[in-house]
Amino acid sequence: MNIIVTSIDFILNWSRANSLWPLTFATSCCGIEMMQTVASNNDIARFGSEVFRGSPRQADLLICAGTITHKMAPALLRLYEQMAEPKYVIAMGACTCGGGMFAETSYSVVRGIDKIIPVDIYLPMCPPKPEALLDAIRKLQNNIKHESVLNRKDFVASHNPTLKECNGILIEDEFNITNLGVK
Amino acid sequence: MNETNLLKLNLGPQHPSTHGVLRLILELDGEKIVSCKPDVGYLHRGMEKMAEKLRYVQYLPLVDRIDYLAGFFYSELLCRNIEKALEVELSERVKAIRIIMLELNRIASHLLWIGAFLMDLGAVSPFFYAFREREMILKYFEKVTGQRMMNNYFVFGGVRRDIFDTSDIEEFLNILPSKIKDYERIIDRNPIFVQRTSEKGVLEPETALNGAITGVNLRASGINYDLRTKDSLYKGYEFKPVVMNEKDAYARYRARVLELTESAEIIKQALEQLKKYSDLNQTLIKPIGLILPEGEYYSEIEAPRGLASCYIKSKGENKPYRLKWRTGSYYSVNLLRKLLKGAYLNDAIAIAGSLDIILPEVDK
Amino acid sequence: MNINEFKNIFKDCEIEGEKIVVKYDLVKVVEFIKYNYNFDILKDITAVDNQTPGTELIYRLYSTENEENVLISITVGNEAESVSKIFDSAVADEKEIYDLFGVNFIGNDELERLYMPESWHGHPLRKNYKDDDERLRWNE
Repeated sequence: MNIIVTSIDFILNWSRANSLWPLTFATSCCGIEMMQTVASNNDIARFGSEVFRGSPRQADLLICAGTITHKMAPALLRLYEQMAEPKYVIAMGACTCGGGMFAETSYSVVRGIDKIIPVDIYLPMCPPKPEALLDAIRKLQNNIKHESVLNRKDFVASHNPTLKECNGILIEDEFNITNLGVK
Repeated sequence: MNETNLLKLNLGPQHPSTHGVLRLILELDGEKIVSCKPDVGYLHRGMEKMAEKLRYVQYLPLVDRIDYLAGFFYSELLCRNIEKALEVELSERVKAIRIIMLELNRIASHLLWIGAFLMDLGAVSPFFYAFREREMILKYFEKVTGQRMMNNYFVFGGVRRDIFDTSDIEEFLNILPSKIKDYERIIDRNPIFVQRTSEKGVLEPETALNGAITGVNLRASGINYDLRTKDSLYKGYEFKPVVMNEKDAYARYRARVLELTESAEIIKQALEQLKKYSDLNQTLIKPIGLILPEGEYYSEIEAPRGLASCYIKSKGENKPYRLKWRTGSYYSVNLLRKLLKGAYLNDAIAIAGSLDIILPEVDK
Repeated sequence: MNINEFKNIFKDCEIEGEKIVVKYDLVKVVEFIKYNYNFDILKDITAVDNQTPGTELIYRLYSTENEENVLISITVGNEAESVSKIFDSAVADEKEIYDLFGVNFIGNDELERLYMPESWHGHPLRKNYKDDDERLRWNE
């Protein structure tokens, strides 16, 4: 039984790891370094990300580049839930890892996106060089190749975002799709 | 038209375009836009409130992040205010180094705008060409200051390190005219590009002045207002502001391409100043224990996206009492309410892209 | 612009350094300066929170013909008059000041919160703002 599962695992993991298509989600300064990685000096298409999809239903990697504030957090949560399994998240930049330069004194910055969505790879720098982003993608591909079909659910279930425990500012009564908090 | 027949469309905060997290709530009647409401605030980090809790030298690295494509300009504004308050003069070599860095930053910002604007309209090749030139500038920044973007290079009273080797910049300036000719050859008379941008988004001079628009957008409508002609840092440099008379999106594109050549001229003159003055005698202001005397201080500069200014009110302590930034893109977003009325939906992307909006400038 | 001629027409304004301090009739002063002396750009509106007198608003005007700046300053409490019918850029400035300082502008049709979400309590840039919302405990 295990021989069949490991052979299927090998083929599935190899094909998933070598063709990760990211979603264009660039909020702030790290987005420009992500664009430099797409350009021709450091080419991300060599590693499988041939195109950047515009819609979350067609993408399977979310590179969250840029500061997330309280007003933007519901949009990020909605984007993550619209993506189809299997999906992976890279937290790019110091602002997404733990608040960054704004962690001590700002009143409207979310201190790290792992309070909202589960994260696979953390990439701290302000902003990371394009070579560092390629290094993070290589590490993610390595992680995917050692995965098994059976334990993806455990990973997602074991990550407990702290938001769901208390009534945060995001969970409101009328969460209308055309409003997102603005009348 | 019936009120109930209008379609409400949300050009949401996440979209495959490069201005950032701008949200436009449009009301459509068929394909024409009836009303447009911009919704900003998705990147509000509280820069002005943070300044009241940090000392001046602790605040200096944060200032680069207000506009990430023109970080040197906002650093220069803060340093200029403090040098004005403590009455410190800059030496000639420091002024030449500052001008080289500022104009290189302006060239990098305009190159990125060319690549991004054309990618919005569907043409993907100029994106790769523009980023190839931009990579040369960023490698030079890394050699001098240690980081590609958000370099923390200007300090109160001077610069952090001296420049020793300028052969990279001379090589870049030699290559630049032939590359600009390449861009003009594939973009300027392309029939699709000309049809999508000429006579779209016409900005009359009275509307622009009423809406506090400055910078390239105002000069492409015929009014000659360039702050560099009155700036004390640029004294003695010869250049001509670029003014165009057709007021549409095509004129704004041509104005930015011509500004690249003007900036290259300024850098050449600054490199000759560097050879004349070889001694970097700078009087650095001691950052620890810095106290600004009581009063109000104001300074302004011509940033790539318009007029930028900084206002500091100090009560004689080591932290400011109130610090305010005025940026150029804030008023361009306000202008979109009027400019998009009556336009078609696929022209909205071309018009909003030609105004060169960057969101961290709008939500400080 | 001739300061003495201006002082003869509006008798109860004072000159403090570079600023012209006005007590009431702000809209009339701005209109007069715009149409008689050709000041056509309102560069920005700055708000400073001096606690006991109130909030001070500083208007900065510029003329492209004569190339000079003029500053007008007024101290208000919780309400002020709006200049959005004269200059269109004031619509965005007054929204920001309402959001961050809590000053209500009478005459501005589009007054609502700009930067903070709708359900935020308080006005952040005031000096007596306390950052202790119960619903944000998860962000510690």
